[in-house]
Amino acid sequence: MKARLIAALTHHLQTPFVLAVLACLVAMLWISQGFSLGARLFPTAVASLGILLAVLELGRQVIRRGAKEESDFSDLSEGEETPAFYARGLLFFAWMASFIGLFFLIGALPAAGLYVLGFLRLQYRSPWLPSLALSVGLVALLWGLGVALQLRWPNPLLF
Amino acid sequence: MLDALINALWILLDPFRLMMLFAGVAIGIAVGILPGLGGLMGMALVLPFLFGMDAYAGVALLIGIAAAVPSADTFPSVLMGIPGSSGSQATIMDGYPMAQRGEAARALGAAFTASLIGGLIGALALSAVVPFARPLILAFGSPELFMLTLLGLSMIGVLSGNRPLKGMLAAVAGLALGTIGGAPVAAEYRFAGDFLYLYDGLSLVIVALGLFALPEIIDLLARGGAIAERSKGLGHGWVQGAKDTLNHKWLVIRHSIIGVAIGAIPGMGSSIIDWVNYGIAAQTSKDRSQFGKGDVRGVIAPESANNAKEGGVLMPTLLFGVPGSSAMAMLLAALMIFGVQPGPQMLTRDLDLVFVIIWSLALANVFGTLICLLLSKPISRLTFIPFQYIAPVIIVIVVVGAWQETRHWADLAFLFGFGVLGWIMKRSGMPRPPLLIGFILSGLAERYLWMSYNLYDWEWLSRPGVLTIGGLAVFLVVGSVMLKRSTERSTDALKHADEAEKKNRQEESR
Repeated sequence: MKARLIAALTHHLQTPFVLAVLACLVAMLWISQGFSLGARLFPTAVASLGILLAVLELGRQVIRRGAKEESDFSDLSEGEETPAFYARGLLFFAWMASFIGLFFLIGALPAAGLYVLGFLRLQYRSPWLPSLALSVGLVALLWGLGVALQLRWPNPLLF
Repeated sequence: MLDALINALWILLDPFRLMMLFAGVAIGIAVGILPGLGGLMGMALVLPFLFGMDAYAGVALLIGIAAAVPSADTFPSVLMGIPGSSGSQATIMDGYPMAQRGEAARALGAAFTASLIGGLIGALALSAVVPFARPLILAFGSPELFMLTLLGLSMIGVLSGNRPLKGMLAAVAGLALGTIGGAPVAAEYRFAGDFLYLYDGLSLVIVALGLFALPEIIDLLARGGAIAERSKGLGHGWVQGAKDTLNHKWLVIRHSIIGVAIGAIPGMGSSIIDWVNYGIAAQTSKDRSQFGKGDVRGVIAPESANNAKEGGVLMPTLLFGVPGSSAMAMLLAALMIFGVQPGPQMLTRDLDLVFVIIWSLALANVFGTLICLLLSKPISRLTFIPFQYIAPVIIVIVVVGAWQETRHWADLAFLFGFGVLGWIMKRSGMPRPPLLIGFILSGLAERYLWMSYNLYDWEWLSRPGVLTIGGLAVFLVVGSVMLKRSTERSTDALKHADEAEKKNRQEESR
């Protein structure tokens, strides 16, 4: 079941993707007709060309339906089409989302330190010493960069 | 012209600019030796920190990265048999067998010397082309420039992926994304709704970081494990490797010239250049018996072409404002950040900057080779660091860099969104470089189209220059697709032959 789901997400993802692009281009063409000539000319040309290409690509996919299009996925190895690979990919996106959340909640520097420490300790069970060293080192680097380049950080929502 | 060349060298010799060039080389070496990361990602990472920097220093930093990656990516190819970047795949064919028989230092010595000579030939070719191309390019009007932009974009679209239609669609999607925000030729905001954040359009830094940096990091993490297993070590033979290259000087010169020529065709990509040169070296050698088993010529030919191609990809980038590769799209983006309009006017208004880029390319090759040779032992150890220690640091830098764009919460929301989009595109076989390059060229293409329409109505389509470039576009696109397909076929044949050879050897050893 899982393997089927992944197959649907990979080999059949290309059709929904092209359909989504086509929908966006149709909307773009529709909306751009309300603009003045100067603002309308380029979006109209781009959207029209894009719609033509999307339809041709969909036609190609329909004709080639059922055929194994290995060349489309040549940059992906066998191991990258397993459910475990997808689950891990989503997990790491979740880790990133949690860092972004912390970034706004507690501020950039504490979030960076906490994220690196948590990521290494919880996700990889790395030893305390290298995890702490990397975490502290990164916070120091960011602080130094902040001073040198006059970077501005977000105001934390919690404090 | 000569004055500008000398003046540019003095500009670059400023200590801060030299330091930036050196920093770029260091970053280029770091991303080059880590398989999966490349020059594009290195350039995307530093892009947010260029604001407020002097244009010459910023350009030196970026060229330093672009020039050092093709040298540094040889480490994993030779030591572990894993390509450090897409441009070092063919080096594995002979570099790795050499390392397995204890000649890693010889292979690296030959590769770095060939890279240095190739890089310098690339810079020389670029500087030689500028004076000749200048009068021709300055004669172009906006219709011809619009057609050239379309030509570059269509070549990148057609050649980037495995399906030309998908690549073209991705390029058009990039052009469409570039229309969000204020119209460049009318006082109107487009596709932004009431969302003020979008009135300035989508940020290039965020689109680039999201599309290219995040999917690569996520995939490397999802694959799990260390980047590489420990190899046997470097062994001896550095001087012998350098001598090998000098003994094959005509091979180095020939493949450097081929590297420049193919690199100048937008979208050809480093992997194609790498394999084409390996194939030519193998086909034209009298004694082919050692190719694939550790022949030093199989290292020298692709490595010299790989570094020389940087001079080639800079040609369409600097002369026409059409990026020769995705990494060059980053350079164009940086030029826009510094207020420099890429394209033919650079050859009149910013000629100093053009020559600073050429000098940076030459010096970065020298610095990169010297660092790789002198610090080879500590650098090679970097390849053994587990990626879990590198990934969170890169993610933090990406997020911090994206936040510096406008310091709006939407910076990070769009970063995440483009990260997911890039990951999905990778999974669904959609090439990402045409989307980014389309996005970058969108404003320029719209201006050229509007000027052409305004000046000539639709009659611009029948101008001789436009028709010539249109015909050239069809010829180049068809010819390049055929060249790419034949390269892929011969690459597959080489890989199959290599695999069969390995199997035979395994069976014999049993």
